[in-house]
Amino acid sequence: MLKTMIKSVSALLVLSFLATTGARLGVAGPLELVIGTGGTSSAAFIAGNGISIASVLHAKGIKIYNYGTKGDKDNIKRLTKKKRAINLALVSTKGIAKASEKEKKGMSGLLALGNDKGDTILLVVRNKAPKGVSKQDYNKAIAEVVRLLKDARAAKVIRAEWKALSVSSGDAAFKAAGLRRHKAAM
Amino acid sequence: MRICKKMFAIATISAVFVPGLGVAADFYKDKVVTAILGAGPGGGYDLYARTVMKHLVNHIPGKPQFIMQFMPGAGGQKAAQYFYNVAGKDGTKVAKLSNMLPAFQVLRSGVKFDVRKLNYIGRAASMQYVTMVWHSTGVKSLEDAQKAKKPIIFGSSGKSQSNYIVPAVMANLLGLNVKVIAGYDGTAAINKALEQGEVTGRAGAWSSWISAGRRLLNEKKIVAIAQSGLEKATNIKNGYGQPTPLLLDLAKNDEERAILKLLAADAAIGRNFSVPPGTPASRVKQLCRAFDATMKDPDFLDEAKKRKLIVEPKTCEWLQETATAVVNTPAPLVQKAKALLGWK
Repeated sequence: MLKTMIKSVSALLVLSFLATTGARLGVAGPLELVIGTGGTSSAAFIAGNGISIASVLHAKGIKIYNYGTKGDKDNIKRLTKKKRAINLALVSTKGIAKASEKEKKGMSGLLALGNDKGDTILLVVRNKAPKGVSKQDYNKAIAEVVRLLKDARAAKVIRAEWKALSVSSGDAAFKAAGLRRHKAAM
Repeated sequence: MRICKKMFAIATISAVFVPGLGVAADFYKDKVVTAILGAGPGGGYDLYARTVMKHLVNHIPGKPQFIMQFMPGAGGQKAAQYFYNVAGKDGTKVAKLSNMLPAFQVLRSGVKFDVRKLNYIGRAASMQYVTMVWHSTGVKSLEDAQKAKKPIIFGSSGKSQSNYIVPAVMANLLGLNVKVIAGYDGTAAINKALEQGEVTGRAGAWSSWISAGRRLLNEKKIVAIAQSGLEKATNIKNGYGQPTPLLLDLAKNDEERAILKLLAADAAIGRNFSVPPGTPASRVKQLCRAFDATMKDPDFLDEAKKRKLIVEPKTCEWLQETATAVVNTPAPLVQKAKALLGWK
C-alpha cells in the first residue's frame, strides 16, 4: 500500500515538473516581427537588412524580418490597416507628415535611426499587438527592439549594411510630425 | 613518422584550399542565411519557406541562423531580379522564388534573369493546380463544363498568375465556355467572391485548397473538375467521385501537348528553393544535400503535417533539368502559347 502511494506521489511530482518545464519551453520561441522598409535600392531597405541580421545575432526573444515595400505611404498603410499588417516600419519625416490623423493614432514613434538624402529615417511601431500575442508580450518585444538598436554590437552589424546609422530619440521629429512616442522608447 | 607528418600536412592543406572540404564546412558557422521571398508575409509562400528554413539550417554544417526577407511585386519577378543580379553570391542568400519564373523567362519580355543559371537546391512540394467550380453551377466534372451553356466565371489575381493561365488555357485551347475576371487581391479575395456569387470558379494550388480553402471543401461548396501539372494526382476527385483529368492529357496533338506542358511546368517547379548564380559549386552541393536531408527529417515532416503542408520533394538536379527544359521550349511553340494567353 505504502509502496503504491510512494509510486503515485513520485509519478505526480514527475508529471507536474514536466508540465511546468514544458510550459516554459513553449514560450521560448522568438516573436517574429516584420519591418516594412522600402524598395530594394532604398536606404530603408538596406537598413532593414542590417536590423534583421542584428536581431538574430544580438536580440533576445525576437526576430525581425525585412519587408521590401513601396516606401513611406505603403509602410504607413500596412502599419495601420487591419490586414496586410507589419509591426515596425522605417519612414522618413516627410512621409510621417503626410499620414492622416487616423493613421497617426494607429502607430507610435520609437527612434530616429539616421539621415538619408537630407531627411531623417524614423522607426515607428504598430500599436496593435499581433494576433495571439498579449499586449504585455508585445510591449516587451518593442522594448527589446529599442534595446537592440542602442546596443553597440548590433550597431556594428547594422553599420556593415548601412553606414548612416546614428540612433537618437527623434523626439523633435516625432513631435513635429504629431506622433506620440511609444512608452518603451522613453 | 615523417610519412605521418607529410600526410597530416597534405590533409591540412587540402582542408583549407580544396572546395567542399574544411572551408565549406566551417563557412556557415556564426553566419546568418537570408531567405528571400517573392511574396509578402502570411501566405503559403511564407509558411513553406519558414518551415523549410527552420529545419534546413540544422542540416547545414555550421548550423547558421536564418532571417526572412519579403519582396513581393510583379508576380515574383521583383524578387527574382534582385536575387539574380544584386544578392550576395557566397551561399548565405537562399530564395523561394515564383514557380512561374521559367515560363516567364520564355513568355515575357524584359526579363532580367536566366533560370538556367540559378542554382536550385531542391523542391519541397509541387503546386498542382486544381480547377474548382461553385456547387450551385451544377457542373460536377470537366464533361459537364464542356456541355455547360452558361459560362463559368473564374476569379484571378492577375494575368501573370496561374489562376488566370489555367482558365485561359481551358477556354482558348480546350474550347470550354469560360470567362476570367482578373484583378482580385489574392486567393482570399477570390474565395470571398466565390461565396458571394461574384465568380463561379477558381484555379488554385491543391495545397492552398486544403489549407485556406478547407472549409469550402468540407462543406462541399466547391467541386474539383480538372487539374493542371505534369503528373496526375489520383486523390483529387470530381463531383461524381472519379479522378479529375489532367489538362495535359486532353491535348489533341503533339503541338497542343507541348504548349500545355510549357504552361503547366510551374506546377512541377512548385515550392522551389535556390541560391544565386555564381555561388561556389561546393556550397551549392552542400545546400542540395542539406535540403534532401531536411525533406527526410522526422521533425520537419511532423511540423509540415501539423501545418497541413504537402511534402513532395525533388532533388536540385531534377529541378535544374525541369526548369532548363521549360526555357528551351522551341520559339514557334512559345509564340503560340503567348497568343493563347493574349500576352505580347
